[in-house]
Amino acid sequence: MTESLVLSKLRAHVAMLTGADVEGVATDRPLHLLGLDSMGFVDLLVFIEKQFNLSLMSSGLSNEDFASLEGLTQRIVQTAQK
Amino acid sequence: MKVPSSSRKRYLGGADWCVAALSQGTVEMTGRRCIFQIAILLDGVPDFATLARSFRSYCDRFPVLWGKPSRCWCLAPFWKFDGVPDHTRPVPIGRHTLATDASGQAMLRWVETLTNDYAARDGWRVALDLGQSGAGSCVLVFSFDHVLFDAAGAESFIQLFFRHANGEASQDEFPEVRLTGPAYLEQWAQKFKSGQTVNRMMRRLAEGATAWLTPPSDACRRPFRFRVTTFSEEDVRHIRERAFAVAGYLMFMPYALASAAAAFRPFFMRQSGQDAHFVVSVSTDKPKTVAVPKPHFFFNELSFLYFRFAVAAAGDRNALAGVVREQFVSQVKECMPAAMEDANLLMRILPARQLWRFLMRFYRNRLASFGFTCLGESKVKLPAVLGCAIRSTIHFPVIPTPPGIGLVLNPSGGVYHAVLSYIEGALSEEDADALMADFRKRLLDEPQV
Repeated sequence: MTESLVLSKLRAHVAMLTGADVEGVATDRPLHLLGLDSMGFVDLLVFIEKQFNLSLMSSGLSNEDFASLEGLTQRIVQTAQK
Repeated sequence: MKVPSSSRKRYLGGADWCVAALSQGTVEMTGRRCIFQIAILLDGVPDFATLARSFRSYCDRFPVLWGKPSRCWCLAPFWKFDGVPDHTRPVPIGRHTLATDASGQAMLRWVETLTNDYAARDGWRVALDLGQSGAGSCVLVFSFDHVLFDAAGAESFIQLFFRHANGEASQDEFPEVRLTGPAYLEQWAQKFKSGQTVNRMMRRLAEGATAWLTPPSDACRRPFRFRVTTFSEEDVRHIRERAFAVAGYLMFMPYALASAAAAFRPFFMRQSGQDAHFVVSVSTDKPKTVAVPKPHFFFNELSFLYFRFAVAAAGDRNALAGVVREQFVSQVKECMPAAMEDANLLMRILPARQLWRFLMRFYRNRLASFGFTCLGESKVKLPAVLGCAIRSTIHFPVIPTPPGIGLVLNPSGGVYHAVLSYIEGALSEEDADALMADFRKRLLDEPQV
């Protein structure tokens, strides 16, 4: 699982949730500034769980994880490697 | 898959037909159908003749506003309309003078009168009323038929109208309503399976005694009432901080719902005792993966989530937030909103009245103890219309699900408005006041007395 692959999948999913173009989804901005609400955020967490077989919710999430899609990508890759 | 094309019909989606069935239920229960209103508070008063002329010419661009539900040979309901507006049925536009009243009570009572009047009338899909209290300010109330509009679509409709009234809207901003998809009645097996998933969840939720605020037996003669409380920008900042601390990142909805559930608890406790549980329906956006496309701002793009709470445990707001989060994740994981839309597509083969009766029998007359909605940021973003500054946007829904009680939270320009809608008699005046005061305290996380 490479970082670029994870990031591209997350970006595509956020684009689908927010109705934005994939290129328009910034990877360095906090998730709430990308237009995600509670529903979109939970959908994203469930997508991560199904796509990467990781339950981030039960592993404890910190503010840094949501600082950007890049930060979330790093968290996913690190958790997967453990 | 054959995709027919027509500018005079559009197949209704599962959510549209679900709203039509709920509206039918509201008619049977209260004599009024499912509508909602959006009030726009303005600084200044626009010229009424200009406003009315502008609104008529705007509506004329959308013949869909003169349409009605019909049924296709394939059993799917569709919205049938002529290609031109029907001027024998003009869009209702009214002007009213309100008593000057700094507390806003006169405005609220007027909106209640409008709500009860429009909800009892048929033959309109959108209406505009201007209420003026003194020369310095006024309120524009847009009324919407819920089968044709959802809250977000209605806001977009108003936003484009304001741009049209200001002479800023270009031709290509006006959507053309076309039959852009098929009837979505294929893949019956999959839709049956989705229906099974939804039914299992609903039966699980409805198991045992459901706490219930009984609608009055003479509900047809009782008006819908509202209570409004507004949270300032400072309040909103504080609430968001508390939501983050209590429920987690981007978990505003679970925090707000937990606060609402805790505020409703004393009434359920009084009515049903602490061994009961209560079920809350929460309207949410339809999942983006669902195929039925929404033509711009018309028709419904919503789905529902359901939450169940034990009355005995509902006093602890922070624990409730955890329960909401858990049930929220579980329903999204089980693709419940998508399953509901899929199942609703199949349910469209039933006429709205039969669908309503089927739902009532299936769920033993108790779909939910109350309804809750947390709307997204208002789409009405212009600073002014016809020279009057836009101060705020407030949503007033007629809650269709019995017992006709709902709480809506809507953000607008940095502040939040919470609106309680209820049928008179299901809650007393004192109960409504106490409920809103408690909800406010819990949302602000103020100490409970």
